[in-house]
Amino acid sequence: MGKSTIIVLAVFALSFACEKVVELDVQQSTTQMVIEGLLTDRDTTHFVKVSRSIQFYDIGVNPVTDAIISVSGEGQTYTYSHNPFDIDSMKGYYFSDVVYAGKVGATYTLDVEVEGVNYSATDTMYYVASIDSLSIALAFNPSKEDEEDDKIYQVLLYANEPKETEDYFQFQFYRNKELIAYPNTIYVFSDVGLGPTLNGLPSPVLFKEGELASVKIYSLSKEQYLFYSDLANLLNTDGGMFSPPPANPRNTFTSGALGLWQVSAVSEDSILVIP
Amino acid sequence: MPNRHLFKKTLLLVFHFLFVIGLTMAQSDKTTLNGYVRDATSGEELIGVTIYFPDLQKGVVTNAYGFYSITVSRGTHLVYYSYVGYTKIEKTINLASGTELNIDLAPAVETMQEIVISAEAADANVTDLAISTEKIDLRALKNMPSVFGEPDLIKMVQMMPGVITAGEGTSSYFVRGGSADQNLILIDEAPIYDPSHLFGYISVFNSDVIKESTLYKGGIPAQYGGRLSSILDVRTKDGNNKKFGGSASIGTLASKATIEGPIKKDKGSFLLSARRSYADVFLKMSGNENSVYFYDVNAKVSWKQSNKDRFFAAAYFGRDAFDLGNVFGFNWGNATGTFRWNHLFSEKLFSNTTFIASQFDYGLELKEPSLGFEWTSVINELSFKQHFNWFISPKNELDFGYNFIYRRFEPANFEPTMESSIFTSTQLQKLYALDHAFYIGNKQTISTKLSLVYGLRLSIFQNIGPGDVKVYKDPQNNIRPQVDRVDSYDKLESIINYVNLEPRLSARYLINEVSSVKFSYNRMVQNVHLISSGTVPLPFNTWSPSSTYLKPQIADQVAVGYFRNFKDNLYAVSVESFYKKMQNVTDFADNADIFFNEDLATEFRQGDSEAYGLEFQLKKNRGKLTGFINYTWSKSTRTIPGVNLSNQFLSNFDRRNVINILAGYSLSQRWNFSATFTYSTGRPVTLPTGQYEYQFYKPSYISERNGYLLPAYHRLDFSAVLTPLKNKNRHIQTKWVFGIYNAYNRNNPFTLYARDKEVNNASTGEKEFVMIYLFPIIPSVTFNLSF
Repeated sequence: MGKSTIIVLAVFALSFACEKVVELDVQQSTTQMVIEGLLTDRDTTHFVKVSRSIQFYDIGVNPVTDAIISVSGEGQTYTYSHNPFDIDSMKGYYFSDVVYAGKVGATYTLDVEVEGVNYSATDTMYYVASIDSLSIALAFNPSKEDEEDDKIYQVLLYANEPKETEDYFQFQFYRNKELIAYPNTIYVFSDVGLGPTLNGLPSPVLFKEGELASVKIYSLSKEQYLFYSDLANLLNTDGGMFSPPPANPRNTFTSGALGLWQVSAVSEDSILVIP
Repeated sequence: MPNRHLFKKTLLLVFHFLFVIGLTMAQSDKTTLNGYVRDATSGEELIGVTIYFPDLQKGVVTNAYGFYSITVSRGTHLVYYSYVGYTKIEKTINLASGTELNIDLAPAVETMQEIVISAEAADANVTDLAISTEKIDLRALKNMPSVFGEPDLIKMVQMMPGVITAGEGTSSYFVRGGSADQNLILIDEAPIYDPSHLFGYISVFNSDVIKESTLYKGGIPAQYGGRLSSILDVRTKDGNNKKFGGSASIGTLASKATIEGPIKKDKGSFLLSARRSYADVFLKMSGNENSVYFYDVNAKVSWKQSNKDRFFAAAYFGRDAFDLGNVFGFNWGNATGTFRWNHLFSEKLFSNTTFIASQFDYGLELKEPSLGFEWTSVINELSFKQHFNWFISPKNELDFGYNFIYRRFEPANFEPTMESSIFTSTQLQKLYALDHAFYIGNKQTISTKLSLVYGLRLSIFQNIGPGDVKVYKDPQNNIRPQVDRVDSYDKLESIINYVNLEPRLSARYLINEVSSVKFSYNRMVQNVHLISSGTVPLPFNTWSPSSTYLKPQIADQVAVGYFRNFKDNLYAVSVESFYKKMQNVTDFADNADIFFNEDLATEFRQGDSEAYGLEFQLKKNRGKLTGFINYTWSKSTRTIPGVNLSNQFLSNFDRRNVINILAGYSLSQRWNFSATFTYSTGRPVTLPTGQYEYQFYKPSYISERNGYLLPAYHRLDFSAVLTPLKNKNRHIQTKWVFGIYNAYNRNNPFTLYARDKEVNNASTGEKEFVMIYLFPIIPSVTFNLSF
């Protein structure tokens, strides 16, 4: 929360400012391994995506298609295969060979081997606060002139949240089942400083009448939470003038891989926006 | 161990000095002349006036309170009182016994267009003992161009050799490779923790009330301590004790008014000055719900009972407040109070007793049913200073004293503002510290050519209770801090102590009448640490005392300089070179969470820093054209274990080449023109070298801290001051100041960062760099009147 405050301030300080796109002669960087793995408590096929970083001015992704991937936990080992249906857009994606579900409280290790180097990460699946209910409230419309025709609504969330443990969550919002994705915005949440109930927590995204609004909560370990909050800082850096110097997000991978091994329990709910 | 070696040498000097005192005490065919030197029109005491006995070739200058004392042989002597900008007084006095003599110096009537820009002796550049010290020229400051036409002391400080800025629009400055928090800023001896108004567009110093201001970059006298890199000592006016007067000005950004006058003629005086911005008034008038303003108030009362006892009380209050749409509000401010008692124990022993209180606080408020909160943070400082100035003989002038500081830090109080808020009330633990400093310093004239100032400062720091200290298994583990045990401490119980000895030495050797060489060494110790990992501190950064996990920062600096005046002191040239080595400079882990973190200690990373450089200054002191050219070449690096893979990196504020030029031209009695030009190498920034994909995000890949330089910064400003001729016959004096900021409208880089390239709000999948720049060409007008 402190960080978002500081972003507001930096934005204020820069509001007197103008901006200009500049071309810079950046150094070539050595490519880094990037791993994105997600395991939830849902009974489904899970995926791991493996790629390499690209140069600053390059476009696209640089998928890794020959990795050897396995997930182990609870005495089981699950193997993954690269792009089983050979879909072009799924290059670099590995799917579990069987359908399985992670268990809350269990610890899972992801092993990715590429060209003889092992990248490994271990994390625990935490309990997720279950959503009691959702409701709708009229939101303040910043562009006032179309107030009458264009009413906008916030989704309010009600949930119980155990106070005795330190818990971390990620929120995702969906409009008509489609993920609302902004390139610089991450909704993660720590319950430090919070009371035991979330009583009408307003959604940071807005909906129009008739839309289906959905909220998903992912439980995070502290390490996963730090990855996301570091990532948010990196995506929103002002270059180190007021904000800290940009830095790569921390994660639990060995051998210096970028990305995250996310192990999360999920809860979700939906509401039709009808005032 | 070169430091230990130096320490021994310093001790030897102290013994030598004690021996000299013994000799002096034995003499009795001598007598003492003492008193205050004042401005004849306002009664303000003058700092740095030369009192000189030409037949004896002995002299002294008035101290920071305008007092002088000199011991010479009995008899009839000629004595001069001289101060630049004032008519010199020559007196023949018969000194049979101790004599008290207060002198009123009349300001010199300005001969046609003869402007003298500095308020110090004409040859001070060469003869002064001070090295690495900049007296801020207040007259030039008032005519100097500035961004909104508001003269700003800090902007002048930022032009001095060895001083670097982070860019325009900030009140922070960096001295000889030190960070922004390593500057001690004093107003009437009280510290200002954040000198910024409007996030630094202007500083808290109202130029109308400043009497004298000095920046010490090195060769710092033993009576000052507590910060590594510089001391900015600002003294305000006492107020006119002869007649009532006042001034007012209406500017683009702010307006201000000052009144001053006698409480009792020649004995007591007061001064009250207030300044306020009024952008919010226009915003309200235009129906805007946002509000932004700042104000400050300076007040002072002085009572000069006699030469023996004088009392002063000074206060400063200032605040900035922002309110965005009645939803989000924030504010910050400094408040300081100083009470001072000057007492003469004897004609040679001057005492200054000061009680100081200082507070800095900030607050943030969000008004919202479920997320509403109020966040406040406060630093309080109470301090007592007993300073003695002992004019032993013309050859030895001793300063010694004791300074006690109590500090309380409230890093964060967090309160939900509404019943329905999801937050609970939370506080971060308060921190307490005591500082004791004992110091002694002597100014000694060894011969007509060689003079020394040497001293020692003993700094005893205590981090005290009440409080709990977590003992971590690994104090650097900031991901899952593991607490072995928690040690509890009672009120005033010592948690950890740090004792440091700070030797100080400077020497001046006169080569001839127009040139000298100077040398200085000083060690400085700092026991407060700014919790900020950006380049420019925000008012919302907190401070921490030294503690179990934060060691005192220590700096050792040597400087040598060559000083030469030309053409009867018309031109003054100085060349200085410095080397500074700092230990335990405070930095933070990558991705540190410094805002509301109960395990903040795990984010601290301390390491070494090194800086060196060469500074060149050319000043023209008199004539139609006056001004200076300052050039600095310097380099500053840091090596912090755990930051940048423990590799050395350039400091955030490293700028290799900096040039500052100020030129004032007095065309006629009506028109005065000023121009400033500044150039500096771009400051280092951390830029990505690659990118990758994670979910739908495109994070940058960072390979090195501060691996790039921003484009160079340069800017030209003009101002013109119009003083109407009809002023001569009027009681009310008027003055217009016209300014043009950034005359050739350069887009100077403020900061630079990477972002996703977008076309019509849709990401193109590419990345780009965007440079932020602040002020385009800005004209301004200020109207001043005084009576």
